[in-house]
Amino acid sequence: MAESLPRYRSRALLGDVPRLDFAAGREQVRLQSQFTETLNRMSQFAFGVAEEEAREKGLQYGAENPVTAEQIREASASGRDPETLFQGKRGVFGRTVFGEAARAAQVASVASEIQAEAQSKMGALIVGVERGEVDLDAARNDIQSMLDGYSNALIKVDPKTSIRLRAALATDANSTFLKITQTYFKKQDELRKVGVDAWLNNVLPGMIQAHIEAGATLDPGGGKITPQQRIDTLKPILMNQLAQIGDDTYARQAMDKFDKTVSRARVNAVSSFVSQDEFMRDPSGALTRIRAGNLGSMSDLYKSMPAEEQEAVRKNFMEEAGRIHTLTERAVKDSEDKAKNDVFDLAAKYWLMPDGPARDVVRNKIIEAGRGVMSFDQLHSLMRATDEKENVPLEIEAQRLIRRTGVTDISEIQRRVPGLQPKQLRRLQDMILDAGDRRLREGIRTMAGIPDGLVQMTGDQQRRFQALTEEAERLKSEAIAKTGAYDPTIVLGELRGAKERITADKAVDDAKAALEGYGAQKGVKLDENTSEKELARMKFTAPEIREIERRQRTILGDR
Amino acid sequence: MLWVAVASVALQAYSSYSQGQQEKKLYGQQAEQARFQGRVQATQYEQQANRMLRASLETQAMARARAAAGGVDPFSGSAGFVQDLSAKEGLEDFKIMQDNAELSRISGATQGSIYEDAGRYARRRGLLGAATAIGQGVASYGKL
Repeated sequence: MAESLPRYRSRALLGDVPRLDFAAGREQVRLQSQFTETLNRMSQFAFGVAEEEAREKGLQYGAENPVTAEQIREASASGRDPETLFQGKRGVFGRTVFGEAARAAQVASVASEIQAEAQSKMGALIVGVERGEVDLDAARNDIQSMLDGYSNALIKVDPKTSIRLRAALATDANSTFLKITQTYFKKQDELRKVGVDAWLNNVLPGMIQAHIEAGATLDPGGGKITPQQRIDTLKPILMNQLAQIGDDTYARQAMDKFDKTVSRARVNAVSSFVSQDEFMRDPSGALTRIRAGNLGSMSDLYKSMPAEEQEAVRKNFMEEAGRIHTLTERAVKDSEDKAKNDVFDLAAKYWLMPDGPARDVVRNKIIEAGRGVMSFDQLHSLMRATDEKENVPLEIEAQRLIRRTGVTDISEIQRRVPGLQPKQLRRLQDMILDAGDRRLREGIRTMAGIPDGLVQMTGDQQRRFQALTEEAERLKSEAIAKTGAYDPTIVLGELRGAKERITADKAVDDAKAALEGYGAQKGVKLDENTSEKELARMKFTAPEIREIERRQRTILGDR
Repeated sequence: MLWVAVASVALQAYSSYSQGQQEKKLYGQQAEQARFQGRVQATQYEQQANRMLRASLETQAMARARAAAGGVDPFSGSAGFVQDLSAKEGLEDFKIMQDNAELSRISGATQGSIYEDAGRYARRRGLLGAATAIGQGVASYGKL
């Protein structure tokens, strides 16, 4: 029965233990952590500042108490460890920031000093090489010793700095050695150049002279060797020297100098040969011989010379002949002048003497002295009055004045020698004009570049002289038309101002005339623009083409 | 460039402060929620306690009615024993559920309190961050 009655059965369960989120703890931890981090940052900042201050003070200490390279060398020499000289590891301040900074300053200072010292020594080496006191091997050894010695000085103290110093010194050493090498080879080249120059200037001319004087020789096979062939063998010697120097510009200059020296020596040798008495006795005949190349032992050499050198020989010959002629002529002229002056002196005396034997003696002396230097009429006019009104002694006095002082102003003569008659004044005027003409002619010759006393002028000289003479005559005529006389000095001055224009115009005219002449020979028309190919087509020879081109250059240059 | 540095320091400080305030506010809302959840759960436990007590009383009434209908004394013997047992177990369930409701109420309040503390710490952290930013700015400025 009891089993059929309903019964309440228990269903309640104890609730779960609530799970709490401890956010406050987490936040507290985060706050604490942030606080700790902030404090850490603050302390780091403060330590950083303090460390910086300590480092600065250490650097200052190191700078104020530097270790010198000399101290390191002394310590090494006395067996002490150089490390003891420095702060840091074994210094008073130990491995503190201050100590390390002081050590860094000391090491940097001594490294800098060592580098400067090494650079100074390297500079001295360069100077030594430049002066020729140090040769290349010695310089190389010195640099290597420096490199090893200086970098090893710091290796025990600060290997890193030592390595850096060695690298820096090695760079310096490389550039120094490069410079030393360049300087050394440059110096060697300069010495070679001096040798080459000396050979070209002092030895070569003598050798060429000797070869030329020796004339043609025979080789062992019986063949003929000309002086030029022997001279040509000198060129490879020079080229060998120049190849060692390796300076293209200098080589070109030297080869050019060689050619010019050879050319000059050839010209000098032949010029010297033709200046002998054999040629100078008859300059005109000698010139004909020279032009024909008939120079005896020098004939072959002369004919082998280029046209310019042949022309130079002829010019030298004419100048030498002119010089000799001038000397002779001047001596003759001086002698004549002296004789004339003596005649005038005697004439002045003659006219003051009374008739008698003494006067006859003077008269005879005048005739004797005047013979050969004055004409009979001139002598006669000196001793005999042609007009009763004329005072002969006064005219003689005026002539003496003109001859001795060179006065050209007739009024000046009239003032200084009063009492001259109009006829006498005209004669004196003529005398002045003659003297002026001589001076003018001499001045024009000088202006035209004609050597004093040159017998035979070259074509150019002749053309210049002619152009200047024409202009001088024009200037002279203008002056005479204005004043009745002219001063050669003034005419020459005006002529000098117009010289370039006159000679250039004349040269161009002459060049054009020459081109016409050449053209007429071949029946063609030539002008300054006719090309070399066209000239060759017209069958002109090479020397003719050169001459035509020279004329063309004259015309074109003038434009 | 100095003004850029000053502006960024000020912005950093404000940002840190503002972050702390926001976190505090968030934690405050979480605290409210925790307390509310505790109270709701406690009410649910109490409702269950009442339902269990009613079920126990209904069972006893059915037992008495069935015993009486069967001609048996409903207040003694096995019928009385069955009713006593139902009453005892129903009362125990009621107490257990009442305890559960109290526990939910307490844990909700505790969680709310924890969240409020966390909010306070978060706010302090924001203030510390702002102060650190300003301090660093001043120190950096001093090094210029």
